[in-house]
Amino acid sequence: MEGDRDAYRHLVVRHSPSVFKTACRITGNAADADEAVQETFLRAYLQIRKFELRADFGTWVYRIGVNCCIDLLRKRRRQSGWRVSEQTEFGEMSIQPVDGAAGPERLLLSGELEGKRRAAMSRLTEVERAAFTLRHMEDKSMQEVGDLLKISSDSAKQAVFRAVQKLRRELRPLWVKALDKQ
Amino acid sequence: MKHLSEEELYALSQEPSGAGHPHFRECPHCADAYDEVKRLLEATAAAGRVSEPTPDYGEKVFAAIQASLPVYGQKQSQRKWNWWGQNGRLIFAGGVASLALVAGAFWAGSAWQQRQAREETAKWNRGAPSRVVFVVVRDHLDRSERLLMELDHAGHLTEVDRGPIASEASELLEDNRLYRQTAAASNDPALAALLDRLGRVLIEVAHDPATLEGGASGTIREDMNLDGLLFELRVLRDKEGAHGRGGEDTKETKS
Repeated sequence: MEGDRDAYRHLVVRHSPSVFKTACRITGNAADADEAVQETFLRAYLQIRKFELRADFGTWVYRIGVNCCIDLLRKRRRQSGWRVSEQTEFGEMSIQPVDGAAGPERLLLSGELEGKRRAAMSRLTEVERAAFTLRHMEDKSMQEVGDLLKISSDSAKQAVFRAVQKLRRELRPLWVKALDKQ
Repeated sequence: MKHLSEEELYALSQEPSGAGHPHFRECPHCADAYDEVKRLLEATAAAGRVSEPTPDYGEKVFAAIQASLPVYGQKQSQRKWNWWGQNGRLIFAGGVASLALVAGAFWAGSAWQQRQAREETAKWNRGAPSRVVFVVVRDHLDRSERLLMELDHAGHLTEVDRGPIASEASELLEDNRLYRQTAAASNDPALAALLDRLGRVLIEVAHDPATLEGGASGTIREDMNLDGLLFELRVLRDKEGAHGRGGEDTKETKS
């Protein structure tokens, strides 16, 4: 039975990088993503009897990963209440700059925008945040988003729309600033 | 003029030709709002570009969770032991009295039944690997199938195309060797034979990517009967799946 764990190592090595990237996008930082990935593979191992052998393990573990991220976001919110942070607290996450070839003023604005965007993301509900990330960062269809979050595709659509609405409202002053600079 | 609602603006932003909506030509307010939504989504997409974790990331994750992974057989017996620890004395006291009455009659029958059950369990354990092992082999067969299909449908492959295919084949090759040895050792000739044939294709693809040059994947396809291998792989994978489920059922029935 020790062989179970050795065999499972192959699955962890194979699938954890992609789960990590998704977790990074949903949680917004590498440390939380790491925690979510570990929880995901632990949960998958404990629930392996529920895995339908005809299904794809990657898809199955991805679904568990999304749920672990939502649980982690809930836990974080319970721990600290609604976090209202103006600064970028996600220093560890490696993200490409929005526009690497832009001038210093524009770069500053891009950085400010990214910080505000993350802060605004942290104020979304867990489902809004996950739905928005899955739709616009992971490129999932509304149907897939609904399936992953165990809600109807209409509810998924509403969650994504609410997220867009809130983010747009919070980031509006920066768009105006950006237009003034141009 | 009636402005578009936020929901309509978002819906338009999801359409390829959304920017060309006739309303935007007449209404700069809605055109600006549409632009805002588009900028937000572009900034989001840009922020979604997360860098790849280090190559040893998977090993680190496994090392972190390894200690928390229960060994299934051990966990079950430990749980039984705990249960006995809590309730065993009471049950034992009551049981001794009644057991003494029926022991004689029961003994002969149960001894025979236990021997049968032990033989069956041993037989099952010899022939069927655990569920995790099934999932791992399934995963390997799935990946191999995807690679073979890619090869099967490949036309002219440039150097850029060949790189990822060869490196995927190289990764699969290493795992394939281990699984083939395990299959041979666990007396599963069908799986061992398939993995052997698969290994030969993978060697070609991994070590001599030039064979993929200019439709030479056609050569692999013909020489190694790629279509046949793909078919065999699917059949066996389904069989393995059914076997895994069957084994699990057997296990659950027994416990």
